[in-house]
Amino acid sequence: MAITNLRERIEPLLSSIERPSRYIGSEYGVRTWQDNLGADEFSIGLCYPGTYEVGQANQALQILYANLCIDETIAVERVYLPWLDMIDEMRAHDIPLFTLESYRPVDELDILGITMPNEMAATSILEVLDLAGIPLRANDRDESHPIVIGGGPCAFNPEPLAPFFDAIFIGEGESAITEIVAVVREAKREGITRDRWLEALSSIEGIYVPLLYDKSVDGPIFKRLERDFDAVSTPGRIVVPFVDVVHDRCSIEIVRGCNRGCRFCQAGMTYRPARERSADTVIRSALEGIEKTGYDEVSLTSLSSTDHSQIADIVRRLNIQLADRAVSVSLPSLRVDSFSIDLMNVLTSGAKRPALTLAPEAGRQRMRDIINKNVSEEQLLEAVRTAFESGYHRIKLYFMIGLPHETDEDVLGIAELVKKVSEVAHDAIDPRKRSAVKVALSVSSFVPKAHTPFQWEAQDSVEELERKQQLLKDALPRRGVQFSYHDARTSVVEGLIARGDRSLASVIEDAWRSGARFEAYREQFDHTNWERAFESSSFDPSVATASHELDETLPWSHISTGVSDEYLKAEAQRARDGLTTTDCTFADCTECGVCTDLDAKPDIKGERS
Amino acid sequence: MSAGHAPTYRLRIEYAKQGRAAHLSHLEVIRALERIVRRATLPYAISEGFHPHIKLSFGPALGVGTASLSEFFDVILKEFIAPEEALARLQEATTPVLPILDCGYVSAREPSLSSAVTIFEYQVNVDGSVEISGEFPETLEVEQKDKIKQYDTYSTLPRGLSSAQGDHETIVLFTIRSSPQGTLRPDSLMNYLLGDDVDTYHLEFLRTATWVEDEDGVWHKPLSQMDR
Ligand code: SF4
Repeated sequence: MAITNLRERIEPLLSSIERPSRYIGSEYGVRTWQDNLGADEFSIGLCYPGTYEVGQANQALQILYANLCIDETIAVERVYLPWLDMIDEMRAHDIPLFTLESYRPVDELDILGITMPNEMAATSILEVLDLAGIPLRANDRDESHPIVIGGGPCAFNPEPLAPFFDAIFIGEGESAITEIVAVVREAKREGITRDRWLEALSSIEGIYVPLLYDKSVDGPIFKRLERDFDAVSTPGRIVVPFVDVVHDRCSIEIVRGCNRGCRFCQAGMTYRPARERSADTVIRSALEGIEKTGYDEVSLTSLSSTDHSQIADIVRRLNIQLADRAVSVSLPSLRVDSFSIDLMNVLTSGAKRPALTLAPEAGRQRMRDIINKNVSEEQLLEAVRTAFESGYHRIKLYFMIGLPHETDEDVLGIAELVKKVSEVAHDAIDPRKRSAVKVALSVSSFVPKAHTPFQWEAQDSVEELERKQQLLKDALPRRGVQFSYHDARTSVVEGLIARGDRSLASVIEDAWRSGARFEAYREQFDHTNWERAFESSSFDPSVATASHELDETLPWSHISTGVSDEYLKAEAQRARDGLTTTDCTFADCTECGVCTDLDAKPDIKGERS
Repeated sequence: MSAGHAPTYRLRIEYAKQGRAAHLSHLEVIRALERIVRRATLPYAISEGFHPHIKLSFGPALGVGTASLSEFFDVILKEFIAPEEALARLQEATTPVLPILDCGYVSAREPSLSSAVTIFEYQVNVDGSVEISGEFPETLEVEQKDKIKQYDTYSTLPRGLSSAQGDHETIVLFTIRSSPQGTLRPDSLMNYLLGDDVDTYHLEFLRTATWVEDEDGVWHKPLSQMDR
């Protein structure tokens, strides 16, 4: 099949739009268009439903891209959603959504993989399909269209978006992606119908095909996971962008999964069990990554980086190896304790201290016990003291409001704690620098997520969230504390999609038709699009934010993360009783079910402490 | 190089900005070049201080949308490395749209690229047949960033302007000399030449060469045969 090259039509647009470098590809590390056009037998596009700046930073897509590129007989292409100005130009000139590597129309790909990064990307996914000229609903597609496969964090409750995908992949995709390509390629070679392609696809572990699935026959769909994470190589090919993307650095994933068990946290349940890469692997990958990319920063990523059992050793060794190279090492997602601060100090010795970011999540111990955030006030204040004594002068604290069982006292407790942090910071810092102390406070609104112990809980209404935001604002010190919070209306829409069922698909479609897209970008979210959608689909959003009965069948009950229902229920009860649960990587197994269901076990290289 | 410090070496590197790279901004090119130097593992020197970084310096910025056949930047090395070796490593480390063409050492005493390079040769491709006059008044009045700017024609366009008109395209060639008072932008000149019709055409800008002018008015390449 001849491949359409849209280059001559795209080029002239580039001189009149913002940041044309988003649309040029050609970065270091990519498959070249020559390579891709040479491999015209089979093609797959990996799409992030957002701009290049955000999408190119997505680690999961980077891994999949690298893995796919190993096979030189397939064309591997990247697809991002162009920014509004470019979309307008494209629609005006009748140019469909294109791939970056060879500027081919997305519609001509064999497979289009779209990541589902967060709930607020739902309407942008529809924008991708529409701009590509692919029928929105899987039902309306035929053999001429790509197979559209979703995956990523939001796949764990696939229902609200299920009608728009031919298949949805649940879990970790490293080894599955090559199986998917092999199966679809084989099925297409045999020339059978679309239904048969999908049938072939549904045989792959972790794949959910909404059109064919029947729960009573097929049983639950278990997530895929990489049991031996340490053996999964870090990407052998890393694309180094020209554009200043978010997280523009070399990221090395040092632990996958976190078993701390914060009860609001979806990732903490869906990526169990925690698996570490050994210190040797981390160091080798980091050095290779730096050499291969030319980056001046390497970031040791995970859900809780300082939990890695060998983190002190990793930090010490990397520091020695990278001296004299002007390469810095960063540790995002710090645990709230002074051990983490000591590590940060090793990493930033001699350099300017960055802002310290800590997430106590709740203001009072009672609330932290309910959400199972095992951090005490003493630990937090001790960490702050250590930090400000060693030269930090800025701190950013993350909290949540709208949590289950929350009272106004709990909300006010955040202000109390922030005052204490501020006092400790002022006491600890070099008195001459006291005026430089900056405390920033970021407060998000709790959104109940599928597969967590809080999946049955109600979500606060817009009015209630706004009342609590005001309550907190009034209680904060007038000066010296910078306060930011999430838009309550956005949180409620996020909640609808997070726990929605299939009936929500038409509401999402209506909201998109009203103009909703790029809703993950704060200034692009317009709640009136959703109000119109609720009206046209006669949908009552208050039903969707209400609590669920424990014995109700939830919309995502056919998807299994391996964590048992009994465990989640027990955790919900322990929350009500104010009891905490320990992390099995620090103590004994608490029987969440993952290890038995998925034949896995936590992989901890040393001793965690 | 001050007394007491280890000697350093100033390597000048010539590269091109071609193909889709024409759409990169100056800042994006700078970042890409720094990463090329790092990937090439040249023995680059690191600045002291809170934010240690590679010591790089660049010539006058090239606009977004403009390609170039010849651009230069300098990097300070803490060890001598044979230019052929450096070139081979840089070529290995770059991307096809930013090819590395040449490199050689220049004296630490030479003025910086950003002040030394003052002559810029351009070629502009217009996707239509237009007649362009090479005749200019003594003083050129052009609109630049919403302001009317005046340039002395003889000094600013030292070689005048020539063009070749084809059936479906027109090629325009000119050389611009910048002065401390300001630099005529090639797109402003094209706006002046095409007038209101400018929006009906698609223009492709290409910088074909840059020059350093000495006290006697002689033009030299920023990197000469002797530097290697
Ligand atoms: S089954 Fe036990 S050991 Fe495995 S992740 Fe769950 S709590 Fe940890």
